[in-house]
Amino acid sequence: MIKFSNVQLGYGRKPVLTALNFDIQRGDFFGIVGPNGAGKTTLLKAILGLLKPLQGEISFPENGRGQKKSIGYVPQHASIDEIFPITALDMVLMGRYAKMGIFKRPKSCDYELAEKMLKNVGMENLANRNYRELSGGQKQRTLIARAMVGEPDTLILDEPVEGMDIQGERAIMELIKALHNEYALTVVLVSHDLNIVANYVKTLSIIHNNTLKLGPVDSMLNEETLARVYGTKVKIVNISGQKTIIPKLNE
Amino acid sequence: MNDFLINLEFFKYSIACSVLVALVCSFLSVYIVLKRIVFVSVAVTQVSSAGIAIALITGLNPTPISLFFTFLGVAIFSIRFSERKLSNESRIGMGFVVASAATILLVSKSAKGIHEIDDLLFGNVLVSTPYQIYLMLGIIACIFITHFLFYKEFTAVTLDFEMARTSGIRARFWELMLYLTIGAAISIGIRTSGNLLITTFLIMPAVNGLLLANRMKNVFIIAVTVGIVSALTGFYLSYYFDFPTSPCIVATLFAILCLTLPFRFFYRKS
Repeated sequence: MIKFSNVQLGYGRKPVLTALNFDIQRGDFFGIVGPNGAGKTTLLKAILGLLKPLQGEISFPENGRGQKKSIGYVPQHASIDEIFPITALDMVLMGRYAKMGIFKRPKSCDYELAEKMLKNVGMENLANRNYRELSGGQKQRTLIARAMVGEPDTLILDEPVEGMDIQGERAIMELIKALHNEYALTVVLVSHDLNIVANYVKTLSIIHNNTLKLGPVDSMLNEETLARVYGTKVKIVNISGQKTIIPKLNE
Repeated sequence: MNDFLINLEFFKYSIACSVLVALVCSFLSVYIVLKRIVFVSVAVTQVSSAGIAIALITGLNPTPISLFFTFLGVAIFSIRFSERKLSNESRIGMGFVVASAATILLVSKSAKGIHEIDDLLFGNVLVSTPYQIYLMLGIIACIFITHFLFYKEFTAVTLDFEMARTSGIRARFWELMLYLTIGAAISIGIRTSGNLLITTFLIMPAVNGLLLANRMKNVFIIAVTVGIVSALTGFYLSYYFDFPTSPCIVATLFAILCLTLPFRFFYRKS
């Protein structure tokens, strides 16, 4: 679905990531992890089309609707400026703007779809609440609804549970999983939280030494690989079918 | 008041110019404050003043020269450079001080010298002619039509530039269009209203609106109302107390802002 062919990414002439050759398959739940400064944001920007490759090609094959790509982007909720006086419903409606076309105003069908998406993310009772008055989790749900209202094929999320408590983290990840299943969405998720990524994604990609290694999550998540990537020994334990990654403090 | 009304005939064009500048700049101030580009608008206003200074010493028509320099400033300041080595803020700050120095250097050799610096800072009501008003009306109509037609594009690039780009909106183009409408508003008002008043109208009405309203539509309504009321009240006060007009309008805007703060306090409490 999204194909990287011998891609080199970077800023100016300085490469950050090199020799990127991989596909993100339709319907995959794709996680990107790596240490701080490894290039997670750089890769995310390239997938979003915000950063052109220094070398190689990133291709987005056409979907059934004749569009080259259809991406719903969920930024970190903290990146949205809170001085903007806008309701949750209007925030979601903004995700329809590109679909409406130039000169057009939102119609009743756009409002209906925005309300439906707010309902899907459990925010129907807060549609008329100002975005800035919402909690972190509610803001994240609103931004997910905004990304979904454009009826994307691919949902891309940047640190979706950043700054949330355990309950909030779980609720947001369960929501993303439900949307992934319900809409047969391709989900690409960037996170620094290995415990979150380990228990939800199907394909795991790890950025290390300026390139990307990827595979099924079970084969990628092993103690040797993580120790090499993060420079610290870790233990992976399985508690009731849930993987937990713990750093070994004394080694 | 009677005295003022009797002399209204002499001021009618100046008042019309002030009201038109208040109308368009107060409207655009909402985007400027929300997009956090106050410093860009200040720098562009200064570049526009430099354009007027060139027109003054060369004897060319100030409006097209100012328009040209304003658009040049807009084009330069709207480019998004990587901030890894130099912040955009410092780049805009440099543009502001260089434009300020250039303006002073240009007018210092003119015969009128300090009076022209005064004109650039505080405006010159004597240049408010029927032709100037028709020109302003035409440009303001274009600005409002553009904003009516492309409201959703302008709000999208103001709120979340990256989301706008990834969703398929031509974000860079619409951001440049937004900046151009701001530049056009600056250049039509700079000659009559001056640097100080334009800058004020591009910031304070929106601050007032954002303090009082919780919806975009209401912020626009409050900002424009406050801008026009301040222009008219400030003009009357400057006549009554024999003060310069621009600082009087700025003081009125600030007084209204101070008066709205208790309203904000009680509103939040309730």
